[in-house]
Amino acid sequence: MKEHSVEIVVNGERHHLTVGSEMTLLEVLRDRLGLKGVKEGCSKGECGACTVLVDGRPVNSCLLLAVEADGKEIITIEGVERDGQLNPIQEEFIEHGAVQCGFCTPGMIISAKYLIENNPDPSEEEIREAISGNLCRCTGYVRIISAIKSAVDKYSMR
Amino acid sequence: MIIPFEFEYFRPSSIREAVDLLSEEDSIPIGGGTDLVPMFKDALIKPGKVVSLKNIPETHGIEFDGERLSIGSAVTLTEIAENGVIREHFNSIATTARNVASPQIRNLGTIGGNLCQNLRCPYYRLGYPCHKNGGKKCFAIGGESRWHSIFGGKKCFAVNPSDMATILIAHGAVLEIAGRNDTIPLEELYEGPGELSLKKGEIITRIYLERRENSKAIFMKFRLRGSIDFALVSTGIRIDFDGNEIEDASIILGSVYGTPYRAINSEEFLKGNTLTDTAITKASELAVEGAKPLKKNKYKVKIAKTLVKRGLETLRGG
Repeated sequence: MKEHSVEIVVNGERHHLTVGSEMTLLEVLRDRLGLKGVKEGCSKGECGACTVLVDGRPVNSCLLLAVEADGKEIITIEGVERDGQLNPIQEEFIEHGAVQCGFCTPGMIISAKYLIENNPDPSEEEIREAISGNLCRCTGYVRIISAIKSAVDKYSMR
Repeated sequence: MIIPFEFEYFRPSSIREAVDLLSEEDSIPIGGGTDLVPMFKDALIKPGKVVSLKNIPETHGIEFDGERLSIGSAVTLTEIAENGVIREHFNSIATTARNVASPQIRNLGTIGGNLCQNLRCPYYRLGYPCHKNGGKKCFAIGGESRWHSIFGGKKCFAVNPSDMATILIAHGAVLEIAGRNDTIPLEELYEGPGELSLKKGEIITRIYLERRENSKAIFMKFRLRGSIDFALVSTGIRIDFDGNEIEDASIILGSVYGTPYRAINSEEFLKGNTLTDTAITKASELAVEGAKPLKKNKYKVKIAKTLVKRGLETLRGG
């Protein structure tokens, strides 16, 4: 079959879509659902700019065929805030100046969200490992790591 | 970047159905797709039918009965890295999985896909008309050969990049292949650069290995970047001890040859020996005996030797 009917839940909203076999989840999120916060960088799984959570786990949406996302729950950067309130990770990225050009930021925040929600007290080594699939060409990572550390503290106080 | 051609996609729920689909012309199996999807985007492979192996019950699950470990071919690298039983009884395998690619890729990529992954030679991946792309030369010869084979080759000098293959071969892993009565040693999967012994329609369903008494194993990987980088050299080493004496040794080097490379001279030397400083030095030298590096990759010989040395030292110590 070249076309497939898929049902995906994106940021809490259910979508029924017809997708071609050759479409990636990234194309569906950006071009069909207009979620432009999901960035396309290398398109080969190397840079992590397109990272989204699929059933709770970070994956490169550029590598996942859309048909394989059928039945899955997806969280993009657009789904990280709640009722207009930024997530602590987003707040700390701003606070620490962890954003320069901003292209890697959505993927970084998704990877950090997975880490903090699954490991409430990560070491610096674990933070580095968690974002090891997200390339940043501007910051040198120092501020990103300090932002994630501060977000860990904020999460623990929530 | 889009996939610039159309194909049919199938997600069979039984081995039978998968084998039937994969017996058809122009079909290929797909696991997590982390290797294949980029190749589709570059139109290096243009199948008419893509058959997912992820919806077949037999390709899932990790089981251990105290003696034999069984891993489904569609198990992800994350599942292997995080599995409690593997971490307890086969920690070198969990460590290897954790050192492959990035968290995002490990969440998608399967063990079957890792073992069957394609070559990373940049000439091949960039579509140069090399042997693998239907041309008549290897551009690494006389060109950029820093990533290539240090143990020679025939036509193609690209290396097998699988980290998992090194440690699993070192552990004596065997493969269950749908349609075959007997398992085959994982080592026999590899016939040459980018060449597997699987016939059309054959799929790997499970990987098995036995727990050994008094055995220690380690995986070492040298790469330029600390994360999401392929190995320049990797090694999976397993040593079975009888007291201090080495009863059996398995030393497999990755990313140095067209297939995973068994350092057989080193293994033979170690049997019956003990891990003294002298023996470790000798074994590491024997591991690269007969190396035939290309113009720009002599450095990999040193790295391979050093990895084996450090691996054996670590096994002796811990």
